[in-house]
Amino acid sequence: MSSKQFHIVVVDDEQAIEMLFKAFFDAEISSEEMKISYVEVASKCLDILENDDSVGLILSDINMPEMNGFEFLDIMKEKHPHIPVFMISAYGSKDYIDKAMEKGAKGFFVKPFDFDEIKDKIEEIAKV
Amino acid sequence: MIVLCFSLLIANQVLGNFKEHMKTSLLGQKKAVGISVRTLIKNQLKYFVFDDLNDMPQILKNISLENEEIEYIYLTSNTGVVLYKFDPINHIVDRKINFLDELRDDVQFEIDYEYYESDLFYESLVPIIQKGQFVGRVHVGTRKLIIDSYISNIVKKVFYLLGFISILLVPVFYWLISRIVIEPLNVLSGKVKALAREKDFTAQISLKSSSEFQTLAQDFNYMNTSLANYYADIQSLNQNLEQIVKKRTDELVKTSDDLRDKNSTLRDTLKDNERMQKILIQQEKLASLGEVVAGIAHEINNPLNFVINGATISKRTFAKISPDLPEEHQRYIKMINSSLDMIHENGHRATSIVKNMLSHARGSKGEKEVVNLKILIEDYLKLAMHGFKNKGNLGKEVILDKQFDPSVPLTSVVKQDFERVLLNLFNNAFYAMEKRKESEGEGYSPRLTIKLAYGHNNIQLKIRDNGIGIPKEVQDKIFNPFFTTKPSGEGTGLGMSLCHDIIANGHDGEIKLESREGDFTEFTILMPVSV
Repeated sequence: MSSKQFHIVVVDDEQAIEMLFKAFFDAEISSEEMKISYVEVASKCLDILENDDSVGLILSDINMPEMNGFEFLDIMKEKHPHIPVFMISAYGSKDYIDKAMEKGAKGFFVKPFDFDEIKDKIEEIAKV
Repeated sequence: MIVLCFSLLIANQVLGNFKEHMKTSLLGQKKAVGISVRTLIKNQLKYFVFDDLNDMPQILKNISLENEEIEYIYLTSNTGVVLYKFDPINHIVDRKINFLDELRDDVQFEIDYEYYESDLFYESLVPIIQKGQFVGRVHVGTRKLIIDSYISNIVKKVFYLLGFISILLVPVFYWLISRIVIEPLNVLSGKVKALAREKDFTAQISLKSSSEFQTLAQDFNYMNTSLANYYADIQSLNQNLEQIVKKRTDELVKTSDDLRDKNSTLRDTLKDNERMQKILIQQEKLASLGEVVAGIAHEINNPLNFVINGATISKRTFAKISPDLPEEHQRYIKMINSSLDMIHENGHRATSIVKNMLSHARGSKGEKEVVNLKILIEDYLKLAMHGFKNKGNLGKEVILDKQFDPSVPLTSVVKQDFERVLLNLFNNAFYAMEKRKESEGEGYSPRLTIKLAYGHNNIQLKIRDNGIGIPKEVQDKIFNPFFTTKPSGEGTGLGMSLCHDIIANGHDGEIKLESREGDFTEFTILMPVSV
């Protein structure tokens, strides 16, 4: 883990996700090393990104109100292409995955996901 | 013919006149004879004294003998008294000489000749004049018959002559008429016929005959020329017409052909449209089905996420504190752990059920590849059997009856989909036979017949089991999505509807069901060979 605090943003319209992530990562990774922000709408994530350049990774759901994951990806590609975005979605169909990858997603986790996998991926990215 | 009649009539008239004429002249002759007799008598007598001329009868006799026509001669006085006669046959018997004596004053002129006609005789009466005095008469009688027959003779002769001439004239007339009338008419008739037959309007005729016929010939020629012109006009009009007709016909044929092409194109398009519609409807059904299933699946995945990860996190978190718990709490620790395991496991189970359903609902847009159906069938039969062998009590009992037609060619199919169909059908067959075994027990001998045949460019696959069969009221629903006869948990109900979709839409074929409850079930797949 790098000395600098690794900032992750999780974008999911389901509030309970926050609790889940917290429950998992609190046990696994120290807050010194990683900070996780939780937003329920993609626009809020973009707001964060405007002001904070410490974000190293974004985990985003696809089916959300206001702006869905794909639209979010488009904007990310345009505005913050260097920030890796991983999708987490219950919709694990080939179409969805392909589409997301085309739009620049760096990976796709199908719900129900394996937290260990996610943790490994985060560590991988954080090392870079 | 008419000429002959006419000539006969004329001849008759002429003959009549001639007869009269002849008679007159003949009688004239008789008068002459009478006169000559008188002269003769006069010469014989110096003095004409009637009373004592005894030789007179002899003289009269001589005269009549010299003229054989004379039948009798009488000499009468001016008062009518018979003085002398020569009448051997006695024609005149008590004949009254009944005539008037006329005294003529002028002796210079001869008294007119008179004659008397009785039934039998012509009598010439010649008066005797002496010294200017009428002194008597001479009666010379000639037989009427002789004169008449004489006349008739001549008449007959003339008649015959005339007749002969007429008959001779007939051919002459005939020839004349023929030449003047008939021949030209024949010529004309012939020309007209030839004209009608050969349509040679250039023919001109001249009739060497009377002016009427020449005029006729001219008229004919004129008509001919007119006809020629009309005919030429008609010909050219006809040609025009023919050209127009031909042109129109060509246009019509072309239009007709176009229409026919368009028609067949339309028909093809209609057929395509109908087919498309069917596919679309099916796809929609399946699509909406797929959407529904996908929707449900994904909706469920979300809470499942929490279930599974919740269980995981709980377990891990608990693992952090559980070692520190007192001994008497081991039981609870075990319970909590196993509960959490159960949650996790079933969460996963739910996930795999969902995954299963998703993969079922998803139609593959797979590509076709050429396969040997026989091999494919054998492979998947083995696979299905393997599954059932391990499961139930069918075991090795199933009698396999495989009938593969060697003429079945290689065909291209969507391998993945077709395999799914085979697996599905075989699994269903084994399931049905297993069920029957359960109900009938030992007496039942399970039998699976697989028939692969080829004909009329179509491949036919029959899979027949002698399992529990499908009740009639259920048979229609077999291919409905989500319809299953299996108890809940054992089947999704998507298998057959998917099979139907794969065969019908993916391979342009059809799948049919025949079944009798408690007896057998047979599925027939019919699909065209694809290259």
